Amino acid sequence: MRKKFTNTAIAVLAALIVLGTAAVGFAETYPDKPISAIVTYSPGGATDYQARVATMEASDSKYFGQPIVIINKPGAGGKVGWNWIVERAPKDGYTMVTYNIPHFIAQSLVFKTSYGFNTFEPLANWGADPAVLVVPKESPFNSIKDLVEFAKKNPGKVTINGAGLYVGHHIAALQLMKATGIVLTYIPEQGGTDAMQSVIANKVTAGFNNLSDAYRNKQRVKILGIADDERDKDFLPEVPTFKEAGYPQVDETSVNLRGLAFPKGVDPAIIKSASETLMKMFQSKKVKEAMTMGGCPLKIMSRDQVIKMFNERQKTLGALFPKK
Amino acid sequence: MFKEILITLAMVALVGSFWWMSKAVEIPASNTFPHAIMWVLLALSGLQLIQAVLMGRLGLKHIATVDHPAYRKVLIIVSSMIVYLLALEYIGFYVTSFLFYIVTVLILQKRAITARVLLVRGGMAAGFVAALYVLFNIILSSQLPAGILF
Amino acid sequence: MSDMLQYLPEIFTGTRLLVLLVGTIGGLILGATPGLSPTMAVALLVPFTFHMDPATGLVLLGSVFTSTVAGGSLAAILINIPGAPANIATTFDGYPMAKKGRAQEALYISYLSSLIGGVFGIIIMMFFTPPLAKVAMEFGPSEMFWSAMFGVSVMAGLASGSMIKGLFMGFVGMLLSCIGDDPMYGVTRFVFHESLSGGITVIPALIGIFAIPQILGLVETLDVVLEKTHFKPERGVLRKVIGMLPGLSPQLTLGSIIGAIVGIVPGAGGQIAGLIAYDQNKKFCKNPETLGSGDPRGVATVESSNNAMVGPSLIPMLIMGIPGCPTSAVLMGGLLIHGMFPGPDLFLKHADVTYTFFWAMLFAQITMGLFGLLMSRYSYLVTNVSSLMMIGAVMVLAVFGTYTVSNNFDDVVIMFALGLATYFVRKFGFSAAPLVLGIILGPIVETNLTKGIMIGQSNVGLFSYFCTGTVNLIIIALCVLSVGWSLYAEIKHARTQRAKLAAAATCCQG
Repeated sequence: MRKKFTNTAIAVLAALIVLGTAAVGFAETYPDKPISAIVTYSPGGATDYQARVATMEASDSKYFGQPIVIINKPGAGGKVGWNWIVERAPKDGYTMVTYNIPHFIAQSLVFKTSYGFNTFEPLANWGADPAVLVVPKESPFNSIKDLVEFAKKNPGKVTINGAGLYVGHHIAALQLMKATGIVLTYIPEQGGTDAMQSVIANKVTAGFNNLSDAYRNKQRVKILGIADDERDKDFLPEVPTFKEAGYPQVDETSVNLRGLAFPKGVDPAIIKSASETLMKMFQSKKVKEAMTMGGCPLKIMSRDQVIKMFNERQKTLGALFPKK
Repeated sequence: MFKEILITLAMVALVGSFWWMSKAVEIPASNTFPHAIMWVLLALSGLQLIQAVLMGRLGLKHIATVDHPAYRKVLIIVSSMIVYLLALEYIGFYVTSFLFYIVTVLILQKRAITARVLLVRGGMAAGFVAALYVLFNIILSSQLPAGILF
Repeated sequence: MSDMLQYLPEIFTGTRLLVLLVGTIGGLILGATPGLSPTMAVALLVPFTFHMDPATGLVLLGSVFTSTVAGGSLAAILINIPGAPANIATTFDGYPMAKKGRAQEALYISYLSSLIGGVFGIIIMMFFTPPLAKVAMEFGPSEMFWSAMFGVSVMAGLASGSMIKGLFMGFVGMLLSCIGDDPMYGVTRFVFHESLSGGITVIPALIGIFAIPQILGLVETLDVVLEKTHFKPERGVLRKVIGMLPGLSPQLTLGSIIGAIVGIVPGAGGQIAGLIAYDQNKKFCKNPETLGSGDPRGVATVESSNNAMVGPSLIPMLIMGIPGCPTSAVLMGGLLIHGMFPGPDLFLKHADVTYTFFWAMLFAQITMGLFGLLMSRYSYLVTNVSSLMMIGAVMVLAVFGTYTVSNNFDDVVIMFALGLATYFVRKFGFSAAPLVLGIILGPIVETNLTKGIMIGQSNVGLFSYFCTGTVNLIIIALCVLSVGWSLYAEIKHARTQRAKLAAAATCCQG
C-alpha cells in the first residue's frame, strides 16, 4: 500500500516537474526549431523581397538562433494567406505572418474576411513606403494643383493608376478625390513596376506609386507630391507633401507599412520575446544596409506603436470605406 | 453526331453554371469578360454541330480512336489517389506518400506479394521519399504539412 | 566591345566558376521538377547572394535562371510532363520521340537548341539593350491586349484538323481563369466552393493537366505487353545530332527570333514563347504533318525559343528598371540588394558587375548545354524505370510540386480535379495544351482589355485607343494573318483527309 503510494507520488511529482520545466522552458528555449513566416504575396514581389532581407539574420545566435523560413501563400491580393493565418495557422509561435498596411485593414472593411485590425498580434514593423504622385515626363502638369485644376475642368478624363486595389495607392487616390471633389478613373495594375511603366510610357495621366520605385525612375517621371505627414529627407527631400500643397486630407493613411505578426492566441511570453528579438534584428547594421541599398525606406516600430497605428488606421479607413 | 451533341450539352451545362454564379457578382462590369467568353463557347458549340452535320453529309467521319482501356484498374488507382489526397494533410505528407507509393505498386503488379517483394518495393519507396525530403525540406527549405505522423 | 572583353576574365576566378557550375547543375535539376519554376528558384537564392560579392551573386542568379528554363525539357521529354509552362510545346514532339526509344536524341537536340537559342538571346541582350528597351516601353494596355490576342489565335492552330476543339479548350481555360478575385474590380467571382477562392493559377493547372492523364494513361497500358525499350546510352548519338543541326537551322532561327521578340514584350512572359514558336513553325515549315509525332524539328523550335527569351526578357529591367517578367523582377531584387539601381547609368556606374553578369549569362548557357548533354547520357535510367514504379512516383511528385508553389492544399485539390477532367475530355479528342494556354492568357487579356476600356473611355474613345497607333496596327495585322492561316490550314487538312478516305473507300471496294 505504502509502496504504491510512494510510486504514485513519485509519478505525480515527476509529471509535475516535466510539466513545469516545459511551461517555463517553452518561452525560455524559444525558438528551438525554425520559424516560418508566411508572406501573402508571390515570390519576387516587394513584400516577399523585403521580408527575406529583413529576416536573413535570424539564424544568428544574437537573435533567434534559428532561421526564419519564408513561405509564400499568395492569392486574391493577400486574402488567401491572411484568412489562412487566422483560421488555420498553428498558434505555437512558430508561424508568423507579414502584414501590409493599409491593405489588410481596407480589405477587411470592404470584403467578408476572417481577419481584421484586431486579429493579429503585431511584433515589429520594418518598413514604410509612402505613396508619391507621379506624372509622365511629357505631362503639362508641374504641381498637384495643376492636375487638380485640370481634373475639375475635365471630369472623368483623368486616369490615375497604382499597384492594385485597396493598396496605399488606391487609398491615396480616393483621399485626393474626396478632398477635392474631382473624379479620377483609378486603374489598378499588377504591381508597382507595372504601374510605373504605364506612367513612363504616357499611357495614363498620372499615378500613385511607391517612393522607392519613383526614386529609381526620377529621370523619367515628374514627382509632384508625397502622401505622408512629412517630406522624405533621405530619398526625395525636394518633393512637397500634400499637406504643404494645400490638401491636408491626403495624409499618412496611405503609407504602406510592412512588418511581422503572430495570429491571436500565441503565448504572451513568446510574443514578448519574439517582438523584442525582431526589434533588435531589424536595427542590426546588416539588415539596415541591405534595406537601404535596395531602396526600401526603413521604419522600425515596436509592438505597442504598431498596435496604436492599427487602431488609428481602422478609424481613418473606416471613414473612407463605410462598413456595409 | 452523338459525340457532338454530348459536347454541346456539356458546354451548355458549364456555361449555365457560370452564368448562374455570375448573377451574384456585385459589380456588373466584372462580368463583361466572362460573359464574352461564355458567348464564344456557345458559338463554338453551335459551329461544331454544323461542322458535324456538314461532314456527315459528305460521308466524312472523324477517325475515331476509341481504345478499350483497363477501366477497372484506372478506377482503382483513381480511388486510391483520392484516399491519398484525403489522408495527406491529416497523416503527414511523407508517410502518406510512402504508403501510397507502395500500395499502387502492389495493386498494379502481377507478381505474388512475398516478403522479398515487399522489402524491395519498400526500400525503393523509402529511398524515393528520402530524396523528396532532401529536395523539398532541406534544399528548398519549404515546409510540407507534417500531420500527426510526419 | 573592348569594354566588354575587358571584363571577360572576371568570371574565371575559382569561386565564380564553382558558383557557376553549382548553379547550373542545381538549376537543371530544379527545372526538371514540375512546380519548381525559374522564378521560385531565383527568389529563394536572392538573400544568399547578399553574403557574396555582387558579381558572384549575379553569376549564381544568372546561371540558375538560365538552367532552370532549360531543365524543364527533361521532364517534358521523358515523362510527358512539362517542368514549367515554357516547356509545354516540348512535350508535343519530345515525348513521342522518347516513346520510340529516341529519348537520348531528343534530349541532345533539346539542350543543343537551348544552347543556340540562349546564346542568341544573350547576344541580343548584350548589344541591343538600349534601343530595344525603348520599344518595350511603347507597350501599354492596348498593345498588350493585342499581343495576348495573338496568343489566343495560337490556340486554333495547335491541333491540326481540330481547330474548334483547340479553341474550345482555350476558351474553357480562359473561363476557368476568371474564378476567384477579379483583378480589376476586386470582387469575388465564380467561387463554386470555398477552396476555389484563390483562383486557378497556372502551375497547379499545368501539373494536373499533364501529370494526371499521363499517370492514368500508364495504368491503362500496363497490361499491354510492350516491347521493352531497354536502351543503353548509344555511342555516336551526339555526332548524329550535331550532323542534324544544319538541317534544323530554319527551326532554330525561327525559334530564336520569336523567343527574343516574346521576351522583350512585357507582360506576356516567356511562358508562351515556345507555343507561339511551335505554331509558327507548323505554319511555315515543309511537311507539317509529321510534327506532333516525334519530329526533331518540333523540339528544336520550342527549346531554342524558350531559351532565347531569357536574355531579352531582362532588357526592360536592366535599362528602365521595369521588369518584363516575374523572373526578371526577382533578378532586379538581386541587383538592388547590392545597391545597384537598374537604369541607363547601370552600365556606367557598375560596368564591372554588369559586364561580368553578361559574360556569366553567356557562359551559363554553355555550361548548361554541356551538363545537359551529360545528363542526357543517363536519361536511360529514367526511361528504363518500369511504368509500375513511375505511377506512384509521378503522382507524389505532382502533389509535392503543386503544394510548394503557394503552400496551399486547395491547389493540390484543384490540380487533381483538373487532371481528372482533362483525362476524360482527352477521350473525346481534346488536347491539353490549349487549356493551359487559356489559363495563362485569360488574366492578361482581361486586365488589359478592362484597363484599355477605362483609359479609352476617359480620353480618345475606345476605337481609336485600341485600333490606331503603329504598334497596335502591326500586332492586329499579325493576329489576322495568324487566324487566316489557321483557317486555310484547316480547310486544306479537311481536303486531304477526304481524299485519303475516298482513296481508302475505292481501295476497299476494289
